[in-house]
Amino acid sequence: MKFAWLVLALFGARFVTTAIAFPPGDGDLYWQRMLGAQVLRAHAVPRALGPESLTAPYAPWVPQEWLFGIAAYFGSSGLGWDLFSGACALAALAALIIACMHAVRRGASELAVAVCAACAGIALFESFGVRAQVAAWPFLALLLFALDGEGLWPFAAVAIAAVWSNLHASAMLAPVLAAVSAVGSGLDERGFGPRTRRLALVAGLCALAICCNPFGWDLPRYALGLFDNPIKSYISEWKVTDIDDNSFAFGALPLLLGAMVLGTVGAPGDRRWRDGFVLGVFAFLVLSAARNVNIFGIGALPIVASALTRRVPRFERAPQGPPTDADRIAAWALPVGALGLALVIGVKLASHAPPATGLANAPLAALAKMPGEHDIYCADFAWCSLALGVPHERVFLDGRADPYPRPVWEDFVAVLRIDPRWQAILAGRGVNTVVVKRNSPLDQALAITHGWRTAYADKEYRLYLRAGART
Amino acid sequence: MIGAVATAAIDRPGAAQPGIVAVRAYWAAAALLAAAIAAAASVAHPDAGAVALARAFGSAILRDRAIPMHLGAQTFTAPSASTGGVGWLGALAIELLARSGRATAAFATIVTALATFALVGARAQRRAGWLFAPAAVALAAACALGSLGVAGGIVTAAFAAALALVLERPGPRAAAAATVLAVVWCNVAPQGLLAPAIALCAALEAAIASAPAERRRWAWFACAGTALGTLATPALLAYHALAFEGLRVDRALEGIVAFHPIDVAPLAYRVGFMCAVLAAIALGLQRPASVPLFLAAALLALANGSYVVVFGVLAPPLLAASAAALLPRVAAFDARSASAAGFCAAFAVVVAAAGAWWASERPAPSAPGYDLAAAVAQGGKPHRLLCADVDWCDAALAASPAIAVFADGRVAAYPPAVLKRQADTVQLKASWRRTLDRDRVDAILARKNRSFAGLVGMSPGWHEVASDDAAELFERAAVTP
Repeated sequence: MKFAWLVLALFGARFVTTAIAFPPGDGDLYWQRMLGAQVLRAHAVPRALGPESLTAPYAPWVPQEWLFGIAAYFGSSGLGWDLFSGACALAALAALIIACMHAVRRGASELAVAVCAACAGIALFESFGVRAQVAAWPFLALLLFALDGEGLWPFAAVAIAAVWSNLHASAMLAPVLAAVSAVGSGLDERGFGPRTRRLALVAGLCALAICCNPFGWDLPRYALGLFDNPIKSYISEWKVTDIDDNSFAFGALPLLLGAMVLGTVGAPGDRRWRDGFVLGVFAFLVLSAARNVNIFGIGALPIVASALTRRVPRFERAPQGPPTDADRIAAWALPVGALGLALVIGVKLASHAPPATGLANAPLAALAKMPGEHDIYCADFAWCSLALGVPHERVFLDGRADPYPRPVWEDFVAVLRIDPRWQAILAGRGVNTVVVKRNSPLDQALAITHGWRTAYADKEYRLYLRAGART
Repeated sequence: MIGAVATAAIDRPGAAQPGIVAVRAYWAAAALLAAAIAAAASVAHPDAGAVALARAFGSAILRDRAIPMHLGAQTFTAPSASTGGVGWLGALAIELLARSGRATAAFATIVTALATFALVGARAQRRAGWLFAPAAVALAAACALGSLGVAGGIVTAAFAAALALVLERPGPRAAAAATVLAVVWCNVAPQGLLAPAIALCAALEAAIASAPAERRRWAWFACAGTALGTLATPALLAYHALAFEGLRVDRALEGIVAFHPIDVAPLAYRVGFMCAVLAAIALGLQRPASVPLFLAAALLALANGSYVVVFGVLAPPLLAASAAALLPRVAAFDARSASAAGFCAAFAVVVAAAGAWWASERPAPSAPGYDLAAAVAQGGKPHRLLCADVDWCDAALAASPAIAVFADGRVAAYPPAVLKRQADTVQLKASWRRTLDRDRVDAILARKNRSFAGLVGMSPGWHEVASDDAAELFERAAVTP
């Protein structure tokens, strides 16, 4: 791991700094805090949207990120924020470290682990933030580590899946990965051998474990429902992966190409088909949606690193001899040096932290001070998460996204695209406040539409109020 | 068809001698595969924009007995910009085929598709034996879903497959044939620029595999020959720059053309490319020498989805070779049979003829956006048209010489400043109204239900006059210069 520590230090510094010192770039955190407060207040997880939703009040909801919401509530500001956001960064780092240790356990060389860790780290970059899915990454890495283990190790996957299902619906991957591992193992063992039987049992138990949360069967049902949910086409994270995405092009793609060139079935060992099936699932996911680039990095790292070690002479393991003094020093010096390097990079990055502007913070803060009832349409629905829980404000659509019915989404997009019905939709839904990016199409449309006036404007945003609205 | 080429391809000493029933079953399966490809090609829609542009270009060549080298008066933003005559031979061929009737054009397309996959099969058979060849062809065909229509990318795939097959065994004849192929390909389409890249991969393969010195030398000669071949076009030295832009992989064209496989070739990406990726993850490349060609093809497909079909003809034979290396006993199956191969080829021709007849009898498929563009041009008014999708304007240019467009599918020829104005206008950047006024645009074809259409419709002086499933046409009454 000695080369890998240097790589991990670089990514760790970046993760910790951006998490703690940079403003949250994801509007989800705001509704998650509200969710956490609701859970703590009512001692129950809410199962429906509240009256803060203008378009779908009391629509059924599976708030899968409830545990993260509680943590977010406690980590709202000050030391709490530092601890909470730092924990998210450490979760990302932990995922990389576990995946690296997994690769080492599979016999990968130091160089191969370092190279693949660099790619996997880049794959995590673009989706990294103080987010529930980031907190779920180490569970994925742990699950793969457990499934790939001998003896009773695979059964640890059941507990991992149970905890994971309380953090994020991506826990749905647990039984899927266990099942494909079982199928692959069956091909490797050419029958229903002991490992296959164990993995098949683990797959079944994982399927039950992901119901060990306040939602029970509703969580996997929700996750399955996402497969053909039309709202995915309106959310950029669900768009199909593009070579223009840096995390894909420089992180996941090299790993994917490496996996394709090296192959799994032709390799020696007893995991040939198992590796092929597991990697196949991740390949399908990464080519299907940009949001899966990160989990591909975590999943592919151990398999590709060990394949590199086996197949490419340059990456072969050096013959093991008794440790020399230099080895002993390096074993301590490299992690310590890496930590020092991380601190330097962290301090440097923190000094370049941008101000909190990316979520329409300023116009929404200005709106909160304006009198009257505000029914808000945000051109980016994530912005409206900042308005949740603000007195006298209701939102058209916010970052909770999933529970909003399809007609609401269709109306949202119709307004955004200046569909001929856009004014009728805003009027019909009772919207009297619109937040837009300056010079965006909707901004231009509102500017030439009778009945709207600018109530706030800055370099980036404009806030429109319906003329005659009570203020 | 697969077998006709494959039979002549190679002698595999030591191959197993299967029973006659197995050989017949093999060729029956090959014939069915050929029939499926022919059927898919006969129902495939042509690439309406490319066909329209090629026909306009081709008819101009036939009319003037000269190759137009500039955009001309059909564009009002850059009439003197040089096209270099890139693609003149392909345009001429499409126009001549179109003039000879729908059945002939359809037959030529189906035969091209069958020939392409026969070449893929032959290459796979050389590398992986008889049994894995049809699997490689099936994978290649899956990567061509949506690209089998006229001008839909199958010609590019055909040249790529032919070149890859020719370069399998480098030698003087292969080098000469590759050079000739490159010359023809470069005159047919800008994708001819891929010829030296494929030849380079073949040369690298020979070098990595430590092929005999003689073969390595000829592989490099072929590479040089194909590179020189790119100069043998009317554009001469300008070909490379024009062809590179014509490949549509340059991200400077963002907002002008579509790149992503899911937008350009959704079925081929979801079915063919995904299957190839999964097969590669399982099989890997057992010959390290195959890595350059495989990686180049994969990256090309990801850079622009229209090259998933090229990935399909280049990569599956490499994967078939890996499968053969892992399963040598299966790969040893020998299905050589001249009579069965002949029957298969004859069957494929009959199916192609039937498919062409059927394609010519059915009503011409509608092409939303393109049809509306053609209708604008045929409307009789002298328009200055801006199309949100530049390829739509190809249909307008083909329909009437009287119309003038802001930009069309010949994006390689347009100056970057014009393309930026086009993208800024469609994306409603701050200066979009100024651009429409300054260039005196009086008709706009906007994508239906998009912000551009919405805002144009709301703008004073503009009104919607027609629409179809993909586009809305706006006109304005008067323009202030």
